Amino acid sequence: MKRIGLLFTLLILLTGCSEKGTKIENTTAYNEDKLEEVLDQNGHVKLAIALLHEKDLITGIRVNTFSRFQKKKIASEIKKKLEKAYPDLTVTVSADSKVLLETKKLIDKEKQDEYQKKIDKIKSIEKEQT
Amino acid sequence: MEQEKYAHLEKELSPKPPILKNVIKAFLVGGLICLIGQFIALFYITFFDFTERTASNPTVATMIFLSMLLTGFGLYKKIAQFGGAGAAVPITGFGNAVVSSAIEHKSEGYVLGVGGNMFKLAGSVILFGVFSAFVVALIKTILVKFGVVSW
Repeated sequence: MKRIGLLFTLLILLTGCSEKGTKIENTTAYNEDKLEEVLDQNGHVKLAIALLHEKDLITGIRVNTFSRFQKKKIASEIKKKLEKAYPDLTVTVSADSKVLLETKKLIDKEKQDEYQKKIDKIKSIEKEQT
Repeated sequence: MEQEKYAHLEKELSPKPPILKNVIKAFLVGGLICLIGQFIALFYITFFDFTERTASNPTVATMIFLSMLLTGFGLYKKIAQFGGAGAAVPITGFGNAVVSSAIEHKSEGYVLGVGGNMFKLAGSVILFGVFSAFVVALIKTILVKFGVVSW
């Protein structure tokens, strides 16, 4: 019984620190270096998945555990910086894990012609308030 | 004087409640309920079109539904006996309060018994919940108007 308890504790502790880094998918002619720079510079971000497609730049971020209380502020700061760097694109930055999840799913599984439809959907559910 | 004496005597004679033990139990049970809630929220986020912000509504509904079922089967009573405040404070305690008073007064008929007594305890939760939400919203509106915080 004690061993099983220990195993579960270890599993829970170990799954806490899984993914890290920055992942960018670019189907446009825009340069993604600036995007990577902005995301890497921010010390609060531990995982970021970004997608550039036609006129959209969609970014899902996951912040460090103790920065979670300010995650909205962090997201809006990144959004401001990205809007400056890419004035022609519609920028969406969200710290909501749904955006991260859907963007990841989109990059991994969908074909490129499906992108636009899915991006519009992510943007619309991100805006919902209640 | 007599009353004071009695209070003193009663304090001396009655066994001390194991506060630390109760607190730990409440912490564990309350935490476990919240963990289940977190998993349900994650389920709604992963398989339906809910974001972290919007998933709270179906999660609350599911948790209340589950606690109502458990109350009906007589299982929530056992959890509450063990966990104390840990089982009463989360939203599941609200579902328990509604259903248990509905079951208790069933013998008095559906309208005056169940209907009249269902919100006996939960009614005050709803009333003060709505009222405190109103007050908090009022304070926030004023703060936003004066530019102290933003929405």
